[in-house]
Parts: sequence; C-alpha cells; structure tokens
Amino acid sequence: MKLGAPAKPRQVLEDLAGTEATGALHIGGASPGLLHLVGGRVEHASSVKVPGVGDLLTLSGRLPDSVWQAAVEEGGNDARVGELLVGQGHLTEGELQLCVLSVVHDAAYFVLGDEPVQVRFESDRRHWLGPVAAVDTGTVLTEVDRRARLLAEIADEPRLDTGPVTPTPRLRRDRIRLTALQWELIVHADGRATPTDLARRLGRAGYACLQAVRGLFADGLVRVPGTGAAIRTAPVPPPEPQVAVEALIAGGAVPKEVPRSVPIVAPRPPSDPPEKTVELPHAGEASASRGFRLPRRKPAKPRGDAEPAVPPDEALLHRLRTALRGMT
Amino acid sequence: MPGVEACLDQAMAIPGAIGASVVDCTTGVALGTAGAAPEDHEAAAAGAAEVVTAVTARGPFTSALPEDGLEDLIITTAGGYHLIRRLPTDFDGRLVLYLWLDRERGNLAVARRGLQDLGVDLLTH
Repeated sequence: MKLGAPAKPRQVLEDLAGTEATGALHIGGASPGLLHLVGGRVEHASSVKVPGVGDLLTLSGRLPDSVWQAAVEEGGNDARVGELLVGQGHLTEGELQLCVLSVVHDAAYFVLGDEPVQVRFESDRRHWLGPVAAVDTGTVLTEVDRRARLLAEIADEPRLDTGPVTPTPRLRRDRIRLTALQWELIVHADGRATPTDLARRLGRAGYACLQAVRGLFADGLVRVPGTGAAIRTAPVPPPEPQVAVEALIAGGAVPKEVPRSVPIVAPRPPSDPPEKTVELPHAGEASASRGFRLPRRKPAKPRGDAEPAVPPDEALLHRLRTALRGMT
Repeated sequence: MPGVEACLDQAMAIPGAIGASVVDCTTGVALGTAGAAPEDHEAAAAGAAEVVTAVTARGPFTSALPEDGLEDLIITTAGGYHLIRRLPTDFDGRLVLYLWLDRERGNLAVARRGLQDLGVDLLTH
C-alpha cells in the first residue's frame, strides 16, 4: 500500500487485522505515529506525542541511558533489543512486556483518531525491539474509544489536551488535593508546554497526563488555555526597614532584656553596588565593618559570619535610641 | 523471571484461585488474563481500577506520608475474595494484580502472601 488518499486510520487497521497482516502502518496527520502488526495483532505502537518504551525506562531511572543505547545499537538491526535487555538481566520479561503494553495503548489513543489522514502500510517490516507482547486489534480499538469517553466524563473540554497547561493563578478556597502526577504537571507547567509535551519531558504516559489535566480543570486548578485574565501582580517593593523596626517597637515586641550583642541590621536594597574594596578585618574592627549596631556597654565578641555593611540611617538610629532608653 | 503469562499461571495455582489478571488502572484495561472473572475480565479490570482510583486519588485511606502508598485491597463477599495488589513499576505504570478466590477453597492470608511474591518476581531480578 502506498501513500494514497487520506483514510481513517482505525478503518485501515481493522482491514489489516482482517487479513492478519504483518508490517508497519505509518500514520500521518497532526499526531503521526506507527503501528507494528504481526498476524493482524498490534505488537508495538509509537506516537510523536507520547514517550516510547526507551523514554519511560530511562527517564524513570529504571535503565541508564548507556544500557538502553548499547542494546539498541547491538540489537536494533535484527530486532533483538528486548531480548538483549532481558537476557542480560537489565529488565525482567514481565517488566518489559508491561511497559510495551502500556505504550501500545498510550500511543494507539493518539494515532488512531477519527480524522482521515495519510496512511501507508509497509509489509513485513518488524519493530526493532523484537517480539515482546501483542494485543488484539479489537482490544486496542475498544480501549481507544473508552479512553476518549473517560476523558469526556472527567471534563468535556478537548482544548485542554492541545494547549499549554495553564494553572489557575489564585484559588478561592483553603485547601486542595492533588495526585502525584498532577503535582508534577503543575510544577513543570511553564506556560508553553502542552500535557503531551510534559509527558514526553517527564517520561509519563501521555494519556495519563491528559487525564490528570482534565481532572485539574474539573477541580478549577487549571483553566482553558487563552481564557481568563492574568492575575495582577506588582513588582516586588524594596524592603522598608524603618517601618519594620518601628512596628516592632510600637507593638511592644521588643523584649525587656534587649540582647545587646545581637545586631539589628537593616537589609540592604538589592540594587546597591557591591563593595568596591574588601579588607580582611582584624578582630577588633570586625564588628564595626559589619553594619549598624545598637550602642553597647560591653564590647561584643566579633562575629564570624559576614554581613553586608550598611550605611546607618541617622533618623532611625535616633528613634531607636530614644525608644530603648525609654524601656530601661 | 517470569513474563506476564507465567505470572498469571502461578496466580492460578494459588489454592482457591478462580481467575487472575494484570490491570492498567489508568483506564481499567486488562493487560493479561487467566481463568474466569466476575461478569468478564473487561468488567473486572474496569471495576478494579475504579476501586484503586477511589482509594488512591479520592479517598483518605492512603496517607500523604512518603512511602505509605497503597499495597493491596481486599474485597470479601459471601462467596469469594477479591484481592487487588499494586505492582510498583519503576517506569510510569499504574498496574495491579487482581485475583478472584473461592471463599470455601481459598485462604485469604495464603493468597495475599502468594500474590505479593508474584508481584515481586514479575518486576525484580
């Protein structure tokens, strides 16, 4: 079969299953991919939208990249990659089978759409991973339909699948509950990445990410991309040390026994230029170079940690001195 | 190092076993089946996934403490036991082993232990 008129991939797949075909079905369209058939059953599936077997195994840390690469290089040409990984003890047979089966259902959902797209069947072409597991075509198609239905049941909003994951900036509630995958998606949402971008980046199943995002939307934690106003944010104001210290004194929060050796250091605004010269302080002068301190009766021991030097604010100094005098 | 099929065969050798399956709880699809199932394997898989999701994502039964995730779920009926054992995969799997046990012939503690060992064998060297 050559690239011909657009066809519905699922119809083509059903026809191939009917003839117990063996080979690779190339599927084009918006989310292109491949289905490998053996005797009409689906042995492997891949989609550009979702992580493949290698991605899942390496991004999760299950296999080092080097082990995966070595197996692909050694066994890729004669479809023995899976056999090598299991034979050399890197994976159990069960693990590899379950990983492949998960990927088959995950990728099939993305490549077996309802829209007619370009398809091409390459007879007798086998997958480089080798025979690991196979699923009946009917089971694959039933699962594709079920997956679509389940997403709509969570929240019937397909725009969430293809647009950037957009967390709601402010929640009008006290507390929320997330699954571990939802947390991961929120943490990595950067305003551009779609659910499947994040799936590939994180080594998480693509459909599971769609599901997680629909769930977040149903709970009001993400919104449809491109809708809703951005939250108003102000630039972070510079710190106001006077206000803070005055509030402390006015509120009576200063203890009666003022710890004399504890310096009150006014934070320096971040825009200050760095110190031009650096001198190694000697013991007696160390404290003097470390900023403004309250008047002391006894000389304090020099502090070991460095604090930025701050020019004293004369007015603040005066107010503080007066306030402290009033307390003793 | 058994594959899925061998693992399910061993599950069927647990005294009182009527049926067993490996279920992907993302949607409740069976990835492997053996023996019989209540209604059919498709319904059993969907049901197992519903229960697991209710407990892990919605219910307050699994705590938020690290490493305190779900291990297994046991449903008892007048006629049988249904054991659902989570398979902790390193790759991004949401998988469970499901075992249907005859109440008269089965022993819950033995079956639970057997299922635990099978899960370990399936996924570790």
